[in-house]
Amino acid sequence: MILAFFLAAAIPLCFLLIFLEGEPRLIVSFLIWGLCAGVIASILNTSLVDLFATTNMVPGVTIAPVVEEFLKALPLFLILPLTGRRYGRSLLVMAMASGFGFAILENYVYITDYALTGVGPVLYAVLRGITSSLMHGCMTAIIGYGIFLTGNLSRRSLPVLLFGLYTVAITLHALYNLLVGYTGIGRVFAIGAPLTLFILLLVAYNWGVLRGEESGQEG
Amino acid sequence: MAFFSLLVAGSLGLDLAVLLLPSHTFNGFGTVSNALQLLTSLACLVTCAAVYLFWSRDLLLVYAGFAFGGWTLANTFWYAYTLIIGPTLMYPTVSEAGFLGVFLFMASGFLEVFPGSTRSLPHSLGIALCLIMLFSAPVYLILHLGLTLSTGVTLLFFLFGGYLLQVSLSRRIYEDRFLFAGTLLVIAAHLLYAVRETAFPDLWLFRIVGPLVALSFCLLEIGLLQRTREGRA
Repeated sequence: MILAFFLAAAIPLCFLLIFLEGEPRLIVSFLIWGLCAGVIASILNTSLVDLFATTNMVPGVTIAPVVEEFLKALPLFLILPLTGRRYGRSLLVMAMASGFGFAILENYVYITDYALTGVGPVLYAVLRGITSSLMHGCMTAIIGYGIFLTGNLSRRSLPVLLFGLYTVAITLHALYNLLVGYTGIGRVFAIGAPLTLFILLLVAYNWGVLRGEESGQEG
Repeated sequence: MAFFSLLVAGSLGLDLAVLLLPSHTFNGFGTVSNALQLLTSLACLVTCAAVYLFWSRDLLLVYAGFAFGGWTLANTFWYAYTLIIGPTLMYPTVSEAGFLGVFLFMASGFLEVFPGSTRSLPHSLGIALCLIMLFSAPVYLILHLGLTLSTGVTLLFFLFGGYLLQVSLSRRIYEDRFLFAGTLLVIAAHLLYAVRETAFPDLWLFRIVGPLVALSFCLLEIGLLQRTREGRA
């Protein structure tokens, strides 16, 4: 079923890609990758949970963040070191698109799994839309923004930096899952944190404009 | 600067308490040590961000900020996990990623900010000797405990720690005393942490690790502030 939904969402977007050029094309490509990452993560998470079933690892907190953040950011890990091309602040948007693509697929899986009725699915979708979906987008955006922020990188330090940013994303994701899944007060955090992070990223993205500087940093 | 000097004094005090007190601890040592570590990493993060945004465009502040930020998150996760799920936190966990991130961010920062490497033969031999000595520890652990997830992650700590050491020696970070002292202590503290978690979880001597991390962060931050003040950024 997850594969069917992936195809239903990805195929029309692939047709759209044909008409797009430049940055919009990259953003939609990242979105499609996010959907694809959702499918792979679903399979990998299940296999890894089985593999570590005998240990006292908490899968949602320990395994899922490592797998999901890696898959969402995979294009950044591959494209940047291989092409060596420099991107501007739009890297944040591309990375966020991958996270949102992932979240779209994950939302679909949860909504069908819980088999909610009436207004249940709508409420659930809205709630996830402003919490977990936003969290997925922001986690990957942190990696994109971190690369942009460090600007004119030499190719030698890029892989190390990418791995470093990846560690930040998985730690934040794991902390989010821990607080949401296991505490009462954590659910308040679940609503507040992704929105706060999103606003912070929005401010960071527009920092040059807010300070009255020219946005001449586009790559 | 004065605030970080105070934190240095606090960290040294805690380490001396472990070494000199007959019981090697006191009531509430863990809480004080944990609070000191979080306060230090948060203070370092906020200082890096503020100095970068308002005073200096030193790229090293960004890398260090990411290092401190990632570490703060990892430590928060570690405390939250032990409080919410229970104290039986297995090693390794996700927080290890944040701890390893410190090595990665500092190494890439040094690579970007400091000029080209020294390539003289005695210098390279010295670095190689340091790395060989460093790697004897994880090899010893793997030989005695086997290659498990814990020893594997500990080996990763040594690999990344060794990489940061190699970068800091080849890029002449040692000419910047506070920055170099902080870097060495960051490496030592995290490697001791990895060894403790793998093989000696209850050995009293390893209680110095927490305050040592705080001390290393303070030295790094003092080094960064000194760079900014002296206009070397």
